[in-house]
Amino acid sequence: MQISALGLCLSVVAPLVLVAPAGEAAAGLDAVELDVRDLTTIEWEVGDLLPESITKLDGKRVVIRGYMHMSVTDTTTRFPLVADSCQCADRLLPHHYIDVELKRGDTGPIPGEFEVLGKLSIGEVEDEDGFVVSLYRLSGEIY
Amino acid sequence: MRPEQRRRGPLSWSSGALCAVLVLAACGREPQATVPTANAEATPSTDAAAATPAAPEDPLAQARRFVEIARTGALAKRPQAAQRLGTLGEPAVLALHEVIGTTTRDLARVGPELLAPMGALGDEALRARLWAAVVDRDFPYRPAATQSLAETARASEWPAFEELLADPLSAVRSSTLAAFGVLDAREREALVVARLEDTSDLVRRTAADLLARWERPYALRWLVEDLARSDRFFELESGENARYEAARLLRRHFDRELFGYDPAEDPSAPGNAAALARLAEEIDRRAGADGPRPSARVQRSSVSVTGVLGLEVRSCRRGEFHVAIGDDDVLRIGLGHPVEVPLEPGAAQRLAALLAERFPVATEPQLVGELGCDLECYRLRTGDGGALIVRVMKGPDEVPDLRPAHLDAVAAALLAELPGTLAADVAVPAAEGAFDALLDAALASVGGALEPEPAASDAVR
Repeated sequence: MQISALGLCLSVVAPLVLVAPAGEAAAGLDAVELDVRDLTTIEWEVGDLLPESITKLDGKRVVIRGYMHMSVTDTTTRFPLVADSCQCADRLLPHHYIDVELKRGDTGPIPGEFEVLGKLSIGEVEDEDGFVVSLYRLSGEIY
Repeated sequence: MRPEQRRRGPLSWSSGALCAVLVLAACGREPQATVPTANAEATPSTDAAAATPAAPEDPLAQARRFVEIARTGALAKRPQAAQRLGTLGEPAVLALHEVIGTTTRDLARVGPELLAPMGALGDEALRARLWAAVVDRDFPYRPAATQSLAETARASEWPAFEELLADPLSAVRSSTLAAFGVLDAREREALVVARLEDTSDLVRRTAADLLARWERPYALRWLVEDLARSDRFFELESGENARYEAARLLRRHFDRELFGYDPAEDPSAPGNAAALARLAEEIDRRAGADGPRPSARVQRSSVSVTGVLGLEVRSCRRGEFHVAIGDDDVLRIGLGHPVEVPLEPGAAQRLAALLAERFPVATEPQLVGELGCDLECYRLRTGDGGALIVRVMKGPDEVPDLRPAHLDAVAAALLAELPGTLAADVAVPAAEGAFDALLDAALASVGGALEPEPAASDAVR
């Protein structure tokens, strides 16, 4: 189905976002609560060591609040969680986002701040070109 | 802090009940070049085109490959590819000229990432294109273009950079300050000092950081003021955001621990209060106790702006504005210590009546359009006394008449209450003309020009 620009019509609430089941939510009580900026507001370049305050979170169960990156335009199981919904002034460097992968279900674009719950994995992952494709990863649910 | 202790604003999401309003699923859409994830490629064809070759690569082919990755590759790889491109010399210049077309509109179509290598490569023609983009108010990536030029600044360009210090976009003013650092322009220090009192906290922080690097430790006081902020604009935790950004910059001048300061915690928390005291002592020791101090307008704030209506406008072309009308018939403009302007008596009541008619009951937040940088965020008091957030959002492309008629009515009613005599420089330094015209232009840039009074049936129920 195609639409014109004018077709970006006003919607009514469509609850396509999956939320954590009751069990997951309960598990969140034991999670470390973070703001995405706890991870992203650091001075870092490819190859740099991360601060111990961050590396100690590797493998931990966390709740992180932040914003969905504006590139998300459709339903997806994976999205970058960022510190600001607007990225027009900043380059998206590897330490500027959490690569969130939903374990169950999918989500559409979410405006405004929200939280994700899951296991955090920290460390550079490179592709065959040597580009760092992620520094922070979270596998879990929208909380 | 444990989840059950989380701070919740008056309009915050309820846990587990977060709902996005998705226009797109219902309306369908054109195929998109942008990618939905940070490390997935945009399209299969990009993967194929940008695949690593087995044999040593021809320099031009390599440059073309990096151009392609920077344009359409995985989000996380784009800036890295652009950075590499900037080191490839003439092949990169040729590859860039192949894709950037001849007009600013053409340049906008290739996205923001190629702007950095266009400055870094030192090519005169590419640089001229960057300047043409920066002075085009409709170019959607002016901050990135400014940053590229400023990071490779030339002394001959001072007149243009000085003009950009009064740009309506705070991100452009902030990016411009990089030129002063690159050229070590301490003889122009007064221009940087003036930005310590900018209406934008982003610009103030960038100026303070630069001055501190120029061995003016007194400027660190401006950053410490941001560490002590707890102000809010409705549910938006503007003070907390300032704390994180100021802490990031201060770690360049102290150690990472910042005497135990934690931006996630309120500044009045015992650990933070002690850290703030230690920081103040240390700055006094470095700068002398009698050095310059931040004015009252940019000092720490705990102001919480609420009211009948709050409007946040973020336009990549026309600037950012935070405007609220309180129950006390006072207009508040800006964050931190907002400028307060008395309105005609009954202003809040008139707006409340309009909102009650158009939005009788509180609902979940609503979205018009799609995620993007251009934003109109309406914080509304509904007829039942509740609160509603409606966001009108779009990406860099023009979307005519995006704002629905019932929000046209709200925006028009707000503009009608503004004093026409209010000067634009309450929001933008050195801006000329009236504030209401500035806000009207920003609204037109995001949601389109305001339409005449809509029919009642247009209201969202």
